Amino acid sequence: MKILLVIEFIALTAAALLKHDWFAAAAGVLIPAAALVRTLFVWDKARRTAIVDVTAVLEGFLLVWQLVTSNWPLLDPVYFPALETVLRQFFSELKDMAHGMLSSLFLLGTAYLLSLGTAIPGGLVVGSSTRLRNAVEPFSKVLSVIPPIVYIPYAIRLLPSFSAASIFVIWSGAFWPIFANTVAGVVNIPETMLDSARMLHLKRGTFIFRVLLPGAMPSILTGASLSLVFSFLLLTAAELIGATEGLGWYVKDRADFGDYARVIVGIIFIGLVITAISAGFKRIEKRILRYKEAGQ
Amino acid sequence: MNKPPLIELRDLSFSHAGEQTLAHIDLSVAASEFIAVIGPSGCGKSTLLRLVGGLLMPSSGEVLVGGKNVTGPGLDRAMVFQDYSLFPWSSCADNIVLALEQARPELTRAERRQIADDYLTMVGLANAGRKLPGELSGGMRQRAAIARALAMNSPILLMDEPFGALDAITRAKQQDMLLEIWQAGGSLKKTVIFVTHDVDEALILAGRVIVLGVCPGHVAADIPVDLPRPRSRATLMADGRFRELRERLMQELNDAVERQLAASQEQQGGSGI
Repeated sequence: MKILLVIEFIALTAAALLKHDWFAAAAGVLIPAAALVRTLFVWDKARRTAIVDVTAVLEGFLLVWQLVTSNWPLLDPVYFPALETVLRQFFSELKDMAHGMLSSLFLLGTAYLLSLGTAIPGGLVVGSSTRLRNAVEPFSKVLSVIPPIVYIPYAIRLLPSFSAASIFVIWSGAFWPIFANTVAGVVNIPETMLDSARMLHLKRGTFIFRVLLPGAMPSILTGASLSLVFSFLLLTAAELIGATEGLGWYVKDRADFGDYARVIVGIIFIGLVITAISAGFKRIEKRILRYKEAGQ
Repeated sequence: MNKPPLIELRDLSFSHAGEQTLAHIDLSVAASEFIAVIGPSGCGKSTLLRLVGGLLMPSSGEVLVGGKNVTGPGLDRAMVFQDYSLFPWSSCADNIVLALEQARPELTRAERRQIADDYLTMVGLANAGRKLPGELSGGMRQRAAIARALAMNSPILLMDEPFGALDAITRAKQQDMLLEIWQAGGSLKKTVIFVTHDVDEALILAGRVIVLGVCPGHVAADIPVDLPRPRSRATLMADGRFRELRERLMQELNDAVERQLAASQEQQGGSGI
């Protein structure tokens, strides 16, 4: 793959320079350069190979893009903008997109924290009582399978603002996975561990925070990461329908004007933002469950 | 025995899901007594211990501790389980500190830490306080669990096959340690109920062995272990009396297992195994 990467690098840079596509040429140089620097800090051979492979795939994709849109423009430039155009737009649109991101993240963060704050305590309470669990189960079964997207038009009508409506929709989608997994997490705590806690005669609050919550935590985090994915889905869906700002709206608005270069820029940006948030979540998850690495 | 018993089971029966596990158990345990409860699997020995611990409630009869009816777990009884005694997300020392927060609220934080360290040292885990239970071997984990139970300062110690999952050598070491700690208690010795399925373990540790029979669980034999204390494994194994007792216990257990087999064959209409 190393040789392939070198060929792609030369081809992409040459093709871009030939057309005076400065941004594309810069990307052609900088992407392999960044990968090269990265490999210097990785000692594991398999991971180094992986970095080279990933870079080769990316560089190859950009090369094809460059060739079919700029050097031999085979595709309609309205629907398939050149690599150069998209890269230029990406940088000039960063400020607008960052603004949209803040608006989106505000909705997402509020709704997500709200669902954590309701689903975890609810799940702990319901999980620790068989009777309550049996009483709630039929409702949670039906409610949890309703796709929250169907609430969107109703919520937008019913609630005073778009923000409130989308927060409600995201909350209703993120709530169930966390709730169900919290209940399951509590139920699956080994009986002996609960007995051991009972023998310590812990106060109710101590029992909940020092035994039930950490005991159910692995399961809660599984639900929470699932919910995070749902949240993005619902956020962008809600924004496509009724928003006047935010990342989903940004893409829809540019599409309405037929500005497909910016549509692509917006999609790439959304991908990057979600990837960054997911990676952050994984880190937090790993940190909380550090004790699991010790075994048992 | 002129003192009233510390633990008393009166006509105790327990059924779960329509099946009777324990029937008409009468048993008294005096303060500072070390008794072992032994029996084939399924005889309800763990259930018996959980009833004394207050984790289960009897279907009929009563469990008295210090003359009072047991209505739930209490700080006068500490328990060590075969597994999961410690919370895997907290270090060994934190596990003990958590137990002390409730058991001995009069102490300051620093005192609790100190006690945790002291008891971990006592069980030979002086440097393992910061370790997570998962980082320890099975034997060390059980030591830490015993340290926690001891730190709670409860007069009664309930042990549910605490060494059941350990290999033979580790188990022998743990028994020696437990024996040493218990014998060092002097006149303030803890009252111990030790559930096991290992005859040697019962004889080395206990002053009295209760054999539970099956279908449903009942007291099949109550055998005093008149071996001199302080005991040590090395001298016991060569002791004639020890071997006699061992023989007798084996016989009792064998009888219990055979009765269990006979009963299950009867239930299946004599179709055999």
